Amino acid sequence: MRWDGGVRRMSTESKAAIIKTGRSQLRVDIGAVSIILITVLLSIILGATTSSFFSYNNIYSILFGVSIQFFAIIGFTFLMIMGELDMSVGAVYGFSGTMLGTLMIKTDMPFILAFIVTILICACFGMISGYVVTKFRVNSMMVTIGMMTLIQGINWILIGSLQGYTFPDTYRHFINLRIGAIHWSILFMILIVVALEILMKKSTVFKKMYYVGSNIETARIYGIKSEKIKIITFAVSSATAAIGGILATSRIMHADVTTGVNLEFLMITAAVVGGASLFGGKGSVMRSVLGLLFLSVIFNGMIIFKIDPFIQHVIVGFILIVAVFIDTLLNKMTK
Amino acid sequence: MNSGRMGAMSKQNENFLVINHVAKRFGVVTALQDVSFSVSKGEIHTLLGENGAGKSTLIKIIMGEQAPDSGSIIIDGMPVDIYTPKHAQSLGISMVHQELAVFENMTVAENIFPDSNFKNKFGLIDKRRLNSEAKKTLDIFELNIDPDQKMNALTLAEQQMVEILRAISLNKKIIMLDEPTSSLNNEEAERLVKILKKLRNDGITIIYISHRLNEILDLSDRVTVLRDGSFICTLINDESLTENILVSKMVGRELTGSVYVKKDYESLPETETIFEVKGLSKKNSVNNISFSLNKGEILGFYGLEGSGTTELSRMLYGLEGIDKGEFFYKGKKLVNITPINLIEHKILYLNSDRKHAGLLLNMSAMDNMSLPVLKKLSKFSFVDVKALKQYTTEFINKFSIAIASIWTKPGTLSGGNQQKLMLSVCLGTEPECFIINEPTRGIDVGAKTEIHKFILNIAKQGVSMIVFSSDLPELISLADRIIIMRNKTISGELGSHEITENEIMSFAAL
Repeated sequence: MRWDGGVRRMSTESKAAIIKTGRSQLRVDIGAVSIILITVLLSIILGATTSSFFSYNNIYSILFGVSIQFFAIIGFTFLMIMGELDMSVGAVYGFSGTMLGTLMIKTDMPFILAFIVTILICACFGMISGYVVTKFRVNSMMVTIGMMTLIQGINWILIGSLQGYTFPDTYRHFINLRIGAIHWSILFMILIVVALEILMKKSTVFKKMYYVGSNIETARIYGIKSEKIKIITFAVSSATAAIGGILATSRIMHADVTTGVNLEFLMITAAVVGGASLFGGKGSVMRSVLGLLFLSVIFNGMIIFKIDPFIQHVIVGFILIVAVFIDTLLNKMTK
Repeated sequence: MNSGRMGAMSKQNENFLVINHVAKRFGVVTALQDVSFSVSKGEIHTLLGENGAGKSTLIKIIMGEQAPDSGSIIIDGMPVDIYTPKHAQSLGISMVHQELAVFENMTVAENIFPDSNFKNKFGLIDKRRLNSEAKKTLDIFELNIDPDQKMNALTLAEQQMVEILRAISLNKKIIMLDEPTSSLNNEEAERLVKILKKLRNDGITIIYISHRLNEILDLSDRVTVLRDGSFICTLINDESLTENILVSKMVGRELTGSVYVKKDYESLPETETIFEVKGLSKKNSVNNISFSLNKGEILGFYGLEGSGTTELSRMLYGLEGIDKGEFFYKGKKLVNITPINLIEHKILYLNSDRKHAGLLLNMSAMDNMSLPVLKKLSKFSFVDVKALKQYTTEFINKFSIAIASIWTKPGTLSGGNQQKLMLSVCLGTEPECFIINEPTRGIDVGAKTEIHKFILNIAKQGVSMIVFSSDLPELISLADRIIIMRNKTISGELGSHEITENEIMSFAAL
């Protein structure tokens, strides 16, 4: 079915601009560039004022730390793009490490199998959150705060039952696998960030995420299965948080009640600093990771300058408020 | 009796509220142009006009919610030049909005006196006094409502009555009501009419908007008719005024020579029914709607505000749930009325409010175009960028959309170009049945005629369409057949030879 004839004639009658399919415009990602610039600037200042900042060990430890938290921010960013928040990432992060240890110790599961089972269990938690959010139209922040508390409770029970056990070697060595001289997680992070940056621009799956986050009613009118996508993404968010948590637990070699505590706030701050919006429709994993890197540099600097940990907390809170304020301002301006 | 009342009034009272050459534009749309008339003290003055005639805009200006572009409002001889609702309230003006604005979880008394000063000796709210004052107000209007009851326990009509009481509770001189009876049944509406007459007899001036002509004739002292943002006339409600006169004043356009041309009727080659609805009902929304759409036909739907057309348009596309009713498409019953399912059947929907939904204002034109056709424009779930660019460009050229590039975000475009882009997004799916909700709302005349030509052209290619429009001339120039709704149900149907503004309005308003 075409409607060419009459319509073509119309277009020559009116003098509207006929545009050409040209080359892609040079569109610099201003948000990403500015966060890189600020991080570099901050690093230069820290490098100039301290002797230890630019040492190989220090830079490496920053990257290594980020490469573990990085996993948790993948799914978290996806959800923010769709306009939802997952406050349970921190709890899942803590729980997953404990769960994996429990499976290996109590059921003698091999590491790989326990790893997969743990990820699946965590994905189920996410799926439940997603189901409640989409089917009953409940605010995602509230649902996931509930989920966070629930998972924390289970985590503490499991940790209690693990008293006196040490994790098997395969688990403890997992984080220390290296390719050449570099931890695998750092290389993996770089690979995934680049891959996702391309995928999020070109793949239809991610395009749909942006559509849903940009205007869910419009997505609905044009037949996007937004509920299904959201539920899956909640599952993905919990799964990626679980991987991060397993790595973190592997690094400290035991289950700890403080693992992942307040991580959700770090994730929001990093994602918003990286240009994701509480209103949805914006953000990318690369930008969120840049936000994470920026915060890590700040933390590192504060530790070098021996700033009181309580004051560190104050500063991070301040950064979050500023970032959210700018986000809201930008959102108003585009409306 | 009414004319006698008028004669006895002094000059000052006659010009109690003067609307003086008021004009207001929203972008390209003229909401009011050079409107002048006056309202007397202690009269019920009705504003009458079609949807979009400018009634609501006018009372919003009087209420200080919007400032006029030019002209002025004079109250009791004093020109008003500060436009804030607070200022209007201090002048004794209050307004009951069309949409209910109540505190649902608070009591009736708290709703009647939201900013009461009934305080006890500790400076806290004196609840007993508050309730007794509320009871007094309720009694005056013979309303049997407990002032201590929670608002959400009341019926819609009762809530509306309470809202009206709030508007009059604070020594008001002018009360404006925007279609207060649209959600009331006859008995409730009668009770409201009684209350309003009582208020008038107490010397309060009432400005009233309604579409119920019999009610207007029963209630009003005078009626001012607006059409397309212009003042048409003020009529004194004496014995000679009839519903037919009101209808003819509301429409009465000279269609020859305007941009709107009555559609030339060509007998359709096919009369095969493509889409059919049987017995569609939803409580408080629509009641027992049945109709069918023929292949290649443009079926128009018209109704004044509150008639149920808005709800119906959304229900046809599964955007709102229904209680009862069956849908048939190409002879087969549609089981699952959701946008996802309807799109698969090549049924599409153009949303009425492109700012709210229908267009992604923050994403590029290209991203907008690909939304409903992602699958078609991708290979192995990767977007085929080259094909997408070509596809977008093709539509931009076809519909002569004035846009800088395919990366431009539609938020920066004019309303007309946004509308054309939204139309392109829908048409890209090559629909066979197209539900259009307000084809040209809020855009300039040039773009309007262009879009009308596109729509007529698409129909010629065999696409069947259901067009909902509050713009009567537009509907006349597009539709082969028009179904008119009133009071949540179908009140009439006009075939192409019978379509005139007068006929349509008789079904819509009488």
